[in-house]
Order: sequence, then structure tokens, then C-alpha cells
Amino acid sequence: MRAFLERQKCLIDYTLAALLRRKTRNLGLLLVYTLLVFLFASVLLLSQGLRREAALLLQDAPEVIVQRLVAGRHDLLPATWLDVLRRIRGVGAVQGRLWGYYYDPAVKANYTLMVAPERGLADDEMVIGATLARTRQLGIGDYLGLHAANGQPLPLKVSGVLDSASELLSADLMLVSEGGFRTLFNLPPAAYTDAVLTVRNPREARTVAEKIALALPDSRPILRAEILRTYDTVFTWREGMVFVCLSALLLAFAILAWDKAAGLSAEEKREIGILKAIGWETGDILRMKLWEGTLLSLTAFLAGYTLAYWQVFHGGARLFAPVLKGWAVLYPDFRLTPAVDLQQVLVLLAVTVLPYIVATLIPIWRAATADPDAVMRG
Amino acid sequence: MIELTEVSKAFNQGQPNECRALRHVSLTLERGGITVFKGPSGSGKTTLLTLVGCLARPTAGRITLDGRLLSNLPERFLTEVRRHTFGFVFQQFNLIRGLTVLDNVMLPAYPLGQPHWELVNAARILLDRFGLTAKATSRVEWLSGGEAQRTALARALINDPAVLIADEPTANLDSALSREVLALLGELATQGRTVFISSHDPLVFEAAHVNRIVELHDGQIAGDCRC
Repeated sequence: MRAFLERQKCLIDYTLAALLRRKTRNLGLLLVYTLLVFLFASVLLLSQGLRREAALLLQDAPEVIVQRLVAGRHDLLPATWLDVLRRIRGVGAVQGRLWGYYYDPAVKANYTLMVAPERGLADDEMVIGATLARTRQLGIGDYLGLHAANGQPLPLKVSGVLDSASELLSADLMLVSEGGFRTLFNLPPAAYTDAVLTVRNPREARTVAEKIALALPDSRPILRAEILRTYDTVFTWREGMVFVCLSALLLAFAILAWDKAAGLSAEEKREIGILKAIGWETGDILRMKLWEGTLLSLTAFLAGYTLAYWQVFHGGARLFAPVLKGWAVLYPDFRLTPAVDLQQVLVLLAVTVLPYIVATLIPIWRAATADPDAVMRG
Repeated sequence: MIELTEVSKAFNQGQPNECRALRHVSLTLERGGITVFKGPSGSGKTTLLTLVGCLARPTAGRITLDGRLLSNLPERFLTEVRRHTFGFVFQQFNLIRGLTVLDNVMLPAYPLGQPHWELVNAARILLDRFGLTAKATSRVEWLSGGEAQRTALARALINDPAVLIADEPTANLDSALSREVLALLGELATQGRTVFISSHDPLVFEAAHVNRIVELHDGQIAGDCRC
């Protein structure tokens, strides 16, 4: 065992010396490799972080949302439905919700408006998301002039700004009173946008949804799990799009690595011949080159991953945020919870480090199996 | 004792450019002393040394080392024999550029797994013996021809081999340096090592410690003279 360790130590010593002898070439390769890992790791860490953030925020969301469909489209839900829903076995609390979108031509963006009865807002008050407050430069006590559906101006006073911790989902949010909302959109008094309900036994949520669909045939029950799945799909799709774009870079790197590996210089071939002639086995040379590939690729991997981690969790993820967050105008400004997924690290390691090591080993193996007497003859 | 029986070696066998470097060579090489293989360029002396030194296998014939058949050993075992029994000094020195003299000397011992400090000590003793202590940390490309050849000699001895094989060791040296290297080889022979030299340099044949001269011509033995 000791001899094995000493041998590996000697091989590493030689490998480091060999790497340092070709400083410029290896440094160039290391930089390109690090950049590649950095880009891929940034996308993975950011999309994973966004998914996790969405899941955390949605864990307190209602288990079932019920919408009314008319001609396949979402329509207002009559207040009488709330009683029907309450009578369904397994349903806990039922609450009608009012929400909608308001287009603000000043910033060319939609705001999401929601009624928040628990906040006890007056009809001329609102609580807004942090991004909206930043964009419109609004503070507590300021007024924002909206135009009601009947054409009348409706000034609303900012009575609070939402905590930036929830900014992923509340970037463009505007919380108002029921009266203010109905005035703004000119809604009838006994209608709601949709209804949310709790289920006594969460494992029965799907059964309850089936019962709702039977009792109210023009309804569309949406489970919390389905919303989570939708977020997951959206972020996975965006992640996939970025990966497609980055695949060109991966291909370029593969060509560079192959070229570096396959194009063993005459000097390198000569060295391999000398090592064989003075008593190294083919296996020793392969092990030495394996160390070289491992040291180079692991250094690049660690550097790239660390940079990506810093960029995503401490640098505001500026690089891919516009693509992966996906908001049109009001980009939420929030800090993701730092987290590393071991499986993700292993996958990234497998797709970046292993191919490089294999690509470098094949030509070395070809050179290393040459007869050692070539050194004497040539 | 190394014994060659009806040994032949062909390169590019079966191809139009086939070359038969050795033909039916039978030879017994005893332990100790200096044996010189002489002959013109292309006579097969280097090929013979590569076969004796387990750097290559013969196309036909048998080679034994102390009764152990070497000619049919797989590469791994052949390497094992090579690294423990033979040390090599090459015509072009074949030192690895970019590495220090000390690193070059230690290289053959790296795959053996000796403790590093032991290896460094052994290498420093050899460098001291060949007057290279001051050059231990110098890169080999900065050495003179004589220093490079002495470094190659030190490297060849790091695994304490019984047999030293030197291929044209004076080819790249002037007369003074050639004599210096020959004196070192003679010293090694005196200490009990077996030295095989291939050369067509008269300085080598005339060296004081040479015990035997085997002459080759067109891949065959043309003369065998014990001095």
C-alpha cells in the first residue's frame, strides 16, 4: 500500500512538472475549460435555485384552486359556487379570490393585482411588490394613478411594500382591497376570479378535485402539485434552451481537447519513448497521463463551479437571469438561497471531466504502446 | 549470463520495406567486464543491444538471462526485468528537457514506489560520484555534452542494475569527454557491473577496460575477440 502511494506521489510530481513545462498551452486550456464549466454550472445552479425558490413559496399556497371555464376560457366564478364547494365531502375552508392584471403604459408592463382581505386595506390603499416600487420609484405614502374600467382615474396610496424575500413571485404584485378591485375592474358584487380551498386530508386532494369536477362540470380544479410541476417545466424548458445555445461551446471545447490530445507533439512522443526505455510500463505512462487529465480537469471544474456558485448566489446571477427568470420588464431582484445538489454536481462532473480524460487517454495509449526500442533506433 | 540462440530480428515484417537487422545470431555474454559491439552503421549492433536489454523481442530465436527465457515474456514482465537488470545510456542522451538533473536521474525509479527521500538520497549519491552535485537543480538543457552524458549515466544506475547498456556513448562527445566517459564505464566494470557498449569509435575499442569485442556485419557476427 505504501509503495502504491509513493508511486502515485512520484507520478503526480512528474505530472505537475510536465504541466508546468507547457505553461502557456495548459493555462489556455485551463481557462477555456473553466469558462465552460462556469457557464454550464451557472445555468444549472440558477435554474435549480429558481425551482427551489418557487417550491418554497408555493408550499403555503392553497391545495386546490377552482376556476370557472366558459368556452374553454377562464371566466368569473359566481359566489353561489362557494357554497357548493363547501358541501363537497373532504373540503375544508373555501374562499373566493379576486385577482387580475393591469397594464401600465408608463412602464409597458402588466401588474398583477390581488385582493388581500387579511391586510384590512382601505379602498384607496395598496401594498406593492419591491420591484414595482423600485420601477415606479414609489414609497409608502406615495400615490399611483390607475385608470378604472369605466375610464375614471383611480389614485391608490402605497401603504406598504412587500418583503423582498418573496420577490420571485411578488415582483409585479399589487395588493388592494375588495372594494378598490371591484371599482377598478368594474366587477359585479357576487363574482370572484376563482376560489381556493383547503382539503382535510392533503392526500385526498386529487379525489376532491374529481368530486368538484363532477359537482360543477364547467369548473377546472387546479392542484398545488400541478402548479409546482408547471414551474418546474417552465424552468427546465428555459434551462434546455440555454443548454442548446451552449452546446456549440461544448462542441468547440471537445474539438480543442481532442486536438490537444490527439495532436501529441513530437516532444511528447519522444518523452513517452524515453520513459518506456528507462523502465516505465505502458500502465505507468497511462496512470501519469490520467493524473495529468484529472488534475487539469478537476482544477477547471472546481474553479468553474466555485465561480458559478459565487455568481449565482452572491453576484445576483446577472449572466443568465434575463433568460431563466423570464420576466418581460419587471425583473425581480432577489437573492437565491445558496444550495448545492450533489447529483447535479456529479452529472456536471461526468459530462465535463470524464469526456476530457477519455479523449486525452486514447492517443496517449496509442503512443505508449509503441515499442520502447524506438528511442534507441531513432 | 545472457545467451542468444539463433536470434533474428526483422522490422516491417511482410511489407515491401522489410528489413532484417539481425540474422541467426548466437552468442553467450558472461557477467562482468566490458563487451563492445563494433561494426559499421546498419550492421545491427543497436538492434542487438535492444534485444539483450529487453527493449524489444526477437522475431525468431531465444534469449535467456541466467537461464530464464526472456524472448517470449509479455511486455509487463519484460519491463520488470528491464528496470531491475539493465540501465541504459543512449546516443542522444535522451534526457527529459524542462526537468532538473536530479529529477531526470530519479525518473527510472518512479514506478517502483520507493520512499521519495530514499530516492533523492540515492540520486544525490550518484550525482556526487559523477561530479554533478552543483548541477542537481539545473535544467538538463543547460548542461554541456559531458555533463549530459554523466547525467545519463547516473540515471542508468539509479535502480542499481547489474548490466549497463551504452549505445554509442561517445558519438556526441569530443575525445577528452569520450575518455572521461570511458573511464567512468571502466570504473563501473571494475566494481563488478557488466557493461555492453555499441560503438564504431576507435577510442572505445582501445579503452583499457574492454574485455571483449564482438564485430557485426550485415546483421551477423563477423568476429569475436577477447582482449
